[in-house]
Amino acid sequence: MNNQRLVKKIIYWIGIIFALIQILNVLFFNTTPNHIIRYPIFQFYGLQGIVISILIFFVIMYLTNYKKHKNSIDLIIIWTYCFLNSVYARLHDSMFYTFNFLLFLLAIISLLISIVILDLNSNNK
Amino acid sequence: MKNKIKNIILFLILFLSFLSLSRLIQSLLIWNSENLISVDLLNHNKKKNDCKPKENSLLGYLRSKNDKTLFIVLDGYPVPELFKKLTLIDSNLHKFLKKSSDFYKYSISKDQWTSKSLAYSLAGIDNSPSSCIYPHFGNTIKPIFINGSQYFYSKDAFCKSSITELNERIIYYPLKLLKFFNKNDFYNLRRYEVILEERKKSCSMTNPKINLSMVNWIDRTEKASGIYFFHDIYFHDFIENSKLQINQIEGFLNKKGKIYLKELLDIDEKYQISLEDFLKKAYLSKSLKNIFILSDHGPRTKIFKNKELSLLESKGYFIYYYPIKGFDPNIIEIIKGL
Repeated sequence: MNNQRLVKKIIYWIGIIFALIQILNVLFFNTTPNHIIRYPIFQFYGLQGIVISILIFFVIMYLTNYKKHKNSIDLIIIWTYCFLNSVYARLHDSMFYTFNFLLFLLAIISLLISIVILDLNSNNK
Repeated sequence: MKNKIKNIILFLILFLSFLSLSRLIQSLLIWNSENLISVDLLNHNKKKNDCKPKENSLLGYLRSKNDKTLFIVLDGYPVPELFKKLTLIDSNLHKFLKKSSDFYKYSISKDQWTSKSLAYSLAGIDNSPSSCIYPHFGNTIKPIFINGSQYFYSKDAFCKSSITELNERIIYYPLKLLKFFNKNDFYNLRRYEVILEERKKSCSMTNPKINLSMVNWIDRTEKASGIYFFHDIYFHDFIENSKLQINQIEGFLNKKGKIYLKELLDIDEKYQISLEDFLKKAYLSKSLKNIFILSDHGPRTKIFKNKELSLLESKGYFIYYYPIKGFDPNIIEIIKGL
């Protein structure tokens, strides 16, 4: 049981780091290839949604961080946020978010949902 | 038993999350080191003064004159000599442009890629770092794009030949996915590539229907001066989509290649008819001072083994000058110096 708690905590923090890197990239490091330019720049490349994205990130942090033990729902929330952020970036010409990469994130969310279902089943019994 | 399954799933998630995090970091490092145009919140507005168009370049000079100028870039279009080698026929478009323009020049560009080739021919920037390239020029120029394509796009453009904006992508990308699963016919939906093709055809210099409204649009835009670009990718996309086959049959003239030859001649005629019509309307424009019709490089099909022809094929470009309101000898000097 303790093992599971630790693993969940690690998965949660990996999700937080993942989301943080995505935000930091849009804030300070994002680039575009020479042959793909969109004007006005501040309305593309994920820049127009960055404020909302940061706000949601803080809300998620606030809602999930005060608990000592992370439950699977917390993990689903943070990884869904990472997935949606990635889809949003992909729709704004960030080509490194490939289809396979998005499937990877979707697989994580699906597996987390399966854990919630398992938990619910065992609670019912 | 359930606990065991849960353990396995949790460790699988842990593994996948590690993997996706490391993949994200790796992709970002590669992406951001390969591409040098900053579009992040902090740096997207920063100007790089060493990327400014040189004073004795077309852009530098026209900016100082504050005239409304239009550049029509026919991306990848061959020079007349190459066109004849490809088709054994003289290009109608070039015949018309040669006859109607006040000055023209055929030359070899510094690079076979649009961004660097136009950085040199328009702004005089040679051996530039990647951020000093067309159309960005280190943020020192705000070009006004009349059309938007998958490469160079402006939200305020007069017409758009790509599906680029978020709301459109949300609507049309599912069609792209259905195509991936081959389900469009099943649901009786229009194919993504058909929609895209229609947009490309309608927002191109091959479509004379847009000419009048385009001139009016240029006249209506508030700024009295400005550098306008119509970066036409219709020919470029035809070549890019057929490159492999053209390369396999070593040209357009092979029996099997007749279909490409026909299409090339068809595009040439369409450009000629439409540009002739456009120029007639542009001469009536209230605000346009100059028009340049140019290409940036050759079609790059790599079908020639001859050194001279292969150079024309990769880097050959042309420029035609149309002074709409008053001939400017300084512009001729600049073009001669290219």
